[in-house]
Amino acid sequence: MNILVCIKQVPENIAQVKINSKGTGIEIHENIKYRMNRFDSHAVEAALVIKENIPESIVDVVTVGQNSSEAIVRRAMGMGADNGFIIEIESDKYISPSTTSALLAKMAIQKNYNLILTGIMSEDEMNAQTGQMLAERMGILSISGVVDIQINNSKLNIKREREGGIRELLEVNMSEVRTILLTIQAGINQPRYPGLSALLRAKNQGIKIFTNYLNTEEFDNDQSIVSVKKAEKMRQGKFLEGSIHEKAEQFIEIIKARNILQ
Amino acid sequence: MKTIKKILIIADHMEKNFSNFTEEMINCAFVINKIIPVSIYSLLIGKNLSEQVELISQKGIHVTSIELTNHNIEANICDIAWKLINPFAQKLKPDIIITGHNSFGTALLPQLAINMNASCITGVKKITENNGKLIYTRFLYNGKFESNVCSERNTTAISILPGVFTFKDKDSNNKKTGEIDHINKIDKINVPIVLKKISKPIVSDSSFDNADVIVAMGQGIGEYKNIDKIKEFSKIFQLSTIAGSRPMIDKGWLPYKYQVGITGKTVAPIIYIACGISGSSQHIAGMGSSEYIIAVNSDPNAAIFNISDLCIVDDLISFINTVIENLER
Repeated sequence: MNILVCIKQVPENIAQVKINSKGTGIEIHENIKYRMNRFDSHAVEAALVIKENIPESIVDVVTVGQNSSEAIVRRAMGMGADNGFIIEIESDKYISPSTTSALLAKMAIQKNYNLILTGIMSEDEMNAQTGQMLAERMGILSISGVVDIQINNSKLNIKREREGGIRELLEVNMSEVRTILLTIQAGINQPRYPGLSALLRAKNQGIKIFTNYLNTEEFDNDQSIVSVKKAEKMRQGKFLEGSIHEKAEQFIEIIKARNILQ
Repeated sequence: MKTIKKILIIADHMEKNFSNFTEEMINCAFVINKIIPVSIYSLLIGKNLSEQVELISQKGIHVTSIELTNHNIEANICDIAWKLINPFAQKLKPDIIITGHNSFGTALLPQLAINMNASCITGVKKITENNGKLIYTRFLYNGKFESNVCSERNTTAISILPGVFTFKDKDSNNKKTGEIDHINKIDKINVPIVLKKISKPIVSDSSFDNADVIVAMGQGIGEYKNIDKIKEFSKIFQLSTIAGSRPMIDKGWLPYKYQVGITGKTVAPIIYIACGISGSSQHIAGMGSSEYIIAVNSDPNAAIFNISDLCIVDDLISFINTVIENLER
């Protein structure tokens, strides 16, 4: 089975993320650390589990990003992915999921993938669009919010999560379907840590970088960001001041007044 | 002269009765109508729709209902609906499409946007105007920031967050009822994705449902062993229980029955104490109506503080230890 996993880097620590001085986006300062989007690491793990169960499977990983994205591609290879690809974008301009999916489609359509996995959304932009847009651009089936994948011969059994913990067990006959895309929800698995030897191997292995993928036509984002700001307050919370002891004392006074202590 | 724009509401299908979420989509359309003149259409797909059709029509909205006569009630609605929505939307050519930002709406909106060459804006929480253009506000980074976005296409497909367009619009006292088109779909719609079974979690837990105080934990608790500390903390309150945000359950640290949020339980206790919870919109959807919300988080800008009545910025475990020590004295 040929599998492609689409991954993205996100800032390692949300607490360090700040709005830029113009209030038009997120400030990308040089020493910010990145990691793999959590949902994407579940997708990589899901692909590797399939690879372990189906002989001669290949797992490719791809990301759309600047060359700093190399670290997450290497990490996925360290986890066990066979090949890494970067669709390089030089500019730090905003690209919408629609544009990202067009770039991914351009790469994915050249290869014969049976299965394409993406995280359900990215933790930074939270659009939950790229995976399904990629499927539509490639003219293939997609299922979003997947929490379990089982493959028995040509039958693909998927669990899709709905609201309130409701799960749908779905079946797809893979002999009738060329390629299917699944967007992966957290909770499907526990992503493995990269092995040291695999990380070293990944370091020596080449990553194919596609440059000049982004021509003007594709850069035609379907939306533009007017401004970014701190989220609006829904309640005017009171912040406790002072030392930790003073805060604890104030906290106890407040909850005592509400008569809920044992 | 301003032309009348068309809005298409793709009604929510999770519930058998008239869904609150569909009402929120209608409210959202009314918000847009205050900014630009619109005519509102809605599409309902499912079984036994007559009651819902009536309710939507009474709001002056054109309703098309497609009754799936030969499908059982638990049909694979996401994939069947997609087969019907796409041609319907292509024919109607709406300027704005509204769905809910839930598993049904997000399962089909991105595809529909690509097909319609539409701008796709998901998780919308507010709609305003700037120079005659609609501005859509949505969360970034787990609700810590929000961005104002505008569409760069003639058609715009949006999904709205649940629980934000909840107000009753005063201007909607439209006496005219909307037209109704009822389509009986007798043929079975075949989709390559077959629904074999639906499973519902067993979540009933009286200690949870009757709790006055819920002490909920998130990724900020750090290590697994700190769960015991949260449990100890919860015991200082009467009628209390612990709970968790989704990552706690995904990691296998807490069983599913403790999950609060859009994919778990909706709670509204007298006091909700969020310990190390960042406050994603998915979590807030499950606890935002709590009477009094206290949050403890080391990040002063964490989104959870935006919905809290009492905010404590400190190391969580040190704070809990200090509280417990103080009470023991």
